[in-house]
Amino acid sequence: MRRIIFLIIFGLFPLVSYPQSLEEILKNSQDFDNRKIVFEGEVIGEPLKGEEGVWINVKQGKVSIGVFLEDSEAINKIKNYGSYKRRGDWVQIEGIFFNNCPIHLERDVHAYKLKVIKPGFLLREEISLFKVKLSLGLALLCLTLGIICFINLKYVRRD
Amino acid sequence: MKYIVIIGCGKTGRNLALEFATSHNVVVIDRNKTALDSLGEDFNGKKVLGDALDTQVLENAGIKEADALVIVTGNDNLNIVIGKVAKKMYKVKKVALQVYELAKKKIFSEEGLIIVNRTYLLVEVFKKCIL
Amino acid sequence: MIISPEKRDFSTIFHVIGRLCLGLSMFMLLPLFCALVFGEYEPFYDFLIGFLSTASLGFVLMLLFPFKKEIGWQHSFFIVSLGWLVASVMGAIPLYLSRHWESFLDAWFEAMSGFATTGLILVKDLDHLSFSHNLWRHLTMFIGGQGIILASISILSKVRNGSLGLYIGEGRQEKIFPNIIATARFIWKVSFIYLTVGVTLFTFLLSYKGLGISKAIVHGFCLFFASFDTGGFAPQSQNIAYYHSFSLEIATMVFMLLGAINFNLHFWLWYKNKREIFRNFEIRTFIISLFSLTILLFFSLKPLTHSVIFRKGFYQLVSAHTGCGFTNLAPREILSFAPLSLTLLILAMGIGGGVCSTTGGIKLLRLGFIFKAMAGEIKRAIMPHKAVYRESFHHLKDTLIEEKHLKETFVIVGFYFLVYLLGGLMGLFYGYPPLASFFESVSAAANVGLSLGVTNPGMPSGLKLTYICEMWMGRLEFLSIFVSLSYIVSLFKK
Repeated sequence: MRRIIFLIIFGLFPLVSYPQSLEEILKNSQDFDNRKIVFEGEVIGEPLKGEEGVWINVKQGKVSIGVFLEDSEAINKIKNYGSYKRRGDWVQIEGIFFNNCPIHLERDVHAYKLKVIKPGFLLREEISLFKVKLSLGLALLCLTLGIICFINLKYVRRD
Repeated sequence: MKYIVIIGCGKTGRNLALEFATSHNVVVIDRNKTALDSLGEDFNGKKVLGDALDTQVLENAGIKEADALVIVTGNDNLNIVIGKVAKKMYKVKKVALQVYELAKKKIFSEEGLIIVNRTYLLVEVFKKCIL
Repeated sequence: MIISPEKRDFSTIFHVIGRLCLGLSMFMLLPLFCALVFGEYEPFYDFLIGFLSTASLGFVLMLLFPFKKEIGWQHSFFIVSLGWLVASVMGAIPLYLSRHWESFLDAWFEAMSGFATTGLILVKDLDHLSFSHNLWRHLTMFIGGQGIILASISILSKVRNGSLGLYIGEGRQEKIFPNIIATARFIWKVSFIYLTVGVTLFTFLLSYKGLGISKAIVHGFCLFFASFDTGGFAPQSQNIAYYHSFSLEIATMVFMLLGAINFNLHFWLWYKNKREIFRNFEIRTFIISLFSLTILLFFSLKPLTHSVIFRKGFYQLVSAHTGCGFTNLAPREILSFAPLSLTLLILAMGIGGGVCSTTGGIKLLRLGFIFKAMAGEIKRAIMPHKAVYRESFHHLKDTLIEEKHLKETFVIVGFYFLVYLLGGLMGLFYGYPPLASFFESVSAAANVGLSLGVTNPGMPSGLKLTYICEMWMGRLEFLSIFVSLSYIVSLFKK
C-alpha cells in the first residue's frame, strides 16, 4: 500500500523539482531506488577525489549522504564546506538515487545538477566568561592541591 | 630486565624467585605442583610444571631466551647434568648451580659453570667471622 | 568464608584511583595541545577545565586517603572496576562542555563507549565537532583499549604485590613475558610501532583522497585508534562511508584484524615462530567461524551482486566479528538487511576476537573450547568406557584441556549470555522491536558499536544507563565487577 502511494506521489510528478526530505528518502530507500530525487542540504567536510569525478557529502538534519559529481568543475561553485569553524553552503542537489550503485557499490546519489542556495559562513566562537572563570578557579585549586601533595610526599614521613 | 630460569622450587628456589620477580622475568620449573603453588596465586612470573631433564619442558620455560639459569634441586647429579645441557645445548650465558659434595665443585668449576657449595660457603664465612 | 574489606583497604583503593586520575589528566593535555595548534579556543577551555578538574580530583583523593596497605588481590578488583567508572566520568567532562551532547548522561555514555572501545555514539552534529574533541573521543579508545591500568603498570619500575591482579582484572588472561612490567611495556611498544605504521598509511590514503595534510593527520590518528583498538568511532557522522574510498576500507579492515589478534600472538610472530599463525587454535577458530558466517551471509544477501556483498556485507561482518564497529553503510541502510543477515551479525558480534586483545565478546579461545568440549563428550561416549581420552589444543604450545579451563570458560560465557539477554530484555521493556534490542544489547556488551538506530540521543535514560553498564561489564569481563559488588554486599552483612 505504502509503495503505491509513493509511486503515485513521486512517480506521477517527476518533473516537479520539489525538494524532498533526505530522511524520508533513506527510510523508504526501496521506493526511490534508481529514481530522480531532489534534496537540499549542507555540504560538509571537503570534496573527495573519486575515479572520474568527485565526491561531496551533503547533510540534512541528522542524516547525510555521499553525492557523486561526474563534472569536477561543478564543485567550484561551492565556497564553504561545513566544519568546526564553518557552516557549509546550503545546496540543492538533483540526481539519481542508488541503493546499490553499480559503479561505486555504495548507497549514493549521482548528481547532475548542483545549485548553491544559501552560502555558508564562518562560525564565531563564543567563549563564555563562565568557562574562563571556572578554569582560572580550578587552576588555582589544582595548584594549591598539587603543592600540598608535593610537600606531603616529600617532607611528611609515612608511618 | 633479565630473563631468569630457576629450576627447583624448594626453600632456596622459592625465595630466589620471589626476590627476582619484582624486577626481572622469572620462570620457575618444578615437577611438584604443591612446590609451585607455594609461590602464591599472584606470583609475578611463570610457573612450569615438569621434569627439567625433559628438553621440551626447558624450552617451554623459555631457556632459549634465558640470560641466566639457577639450578637448585636437591640432587647433585641432576643439577650438574641440567647445568651442562644448558651450557652446551642452549648456550645460556650464566649457569649457577648448587652441589652438596665439595669434591664435585672442584671437578665441574672448570667447565664454565658457577658452582655454589654450602659447606664451602659456610667455611669461608666462618673464617671471615673469626679471623 | 568471605574476606570483607575494612577502612584501611578503601583508603588504599581511593589513593590508587587518585593516581589514576592524575595519569588520565596527563592524557587530556594532548587534545589541549591539539586545540592550541588548530586555534580552537573554546575547546581549549573545555579541555583545560577537564584537565584541571581531573588533576584536582586526583590530588584530593591522594591527600584524603593515604596509602596504608600494599595492594592485594582483592583491592585490585575494586581499583579496576571503580577506576574505569571514574575515568569515564572525568573523560566526559570536556565532551559535555562542548554542548554537542544533550545531557551529561549522553557525554558519559560516549566516554564509556570510548574507554570500553565500543563505538556507540550519542553525539549530535558530529560533522561540526572540533578536531580536539574528536581527537579526545578517539584517544579514549586508545587509552581504554590498551588498558587504563596497563598504562600505569608500565611506568612502574618495580612490581608491587597485586599488579598481576590489576592486569587480570582488566580482562586479560595471559602474560606475554613472565614479568608483568615487561608484558605491559611490550604491549605499549607493539602499539606504538603499529601506531606509526597505521597513522602514516591512513594519512597517506586520506591526503590522496583530498583531505588537507593537517586534517589528514588528525583523521589518520583517529582512524588508527578506532580501528586498531577495535573501537569504531569515526570523525564524521557517516563513519567510514564518509571517505568513499575502497582502499581505505581495506586498510581499516587490516588494522581491525590486527587489533583482534591476541597480543601474545603478535609477540610470537615477531620474535619466534612465523608458522604459529597457521597452527594457532584461535586463528583456526577465527577462520572457521568467519568462513561459515561469510557463507551464510552470502546466501542471506543473495539478491545483491557479489561485489556489493563483499563491500557491504563482508565489511560489516569483519567489523562485527573483530568487535570494531566501523560501518561503510549509509544511515539506516543496515535496516534494509534481512533478519537472517542481522542475526548473523549478532552472532559475529557475540563471539568477538582473541583473548588478550582489545575486542569484547565471548572470545575465540572460549568458543573453541566449547566446541572441543562438546566433541570430547561425544567421543568419550563412543569409546570403550575405560579408555582415557584428553582433548588438547595448540595455542603457542600444545596444552591439554583441563576441567578447570572448561569451568572458567563456561562461567564467563554464561555471564556474557546473561548480560546479552538482560540488555535485550531491557530494550524490549522500553518498547523496541526484539531483533533491534538484542542487536543493540550484544553490540554494547561485546564492545562492538554497530547500531540499528536504537542508540540515539532521544532514547530513554534507563536504556542509556543499561548500555553504559553493559559496556563496562563486557570490557572488564565481569570478574572484577562482580567481585567488588560481592565485597560491598559483604560489608552490609557484617
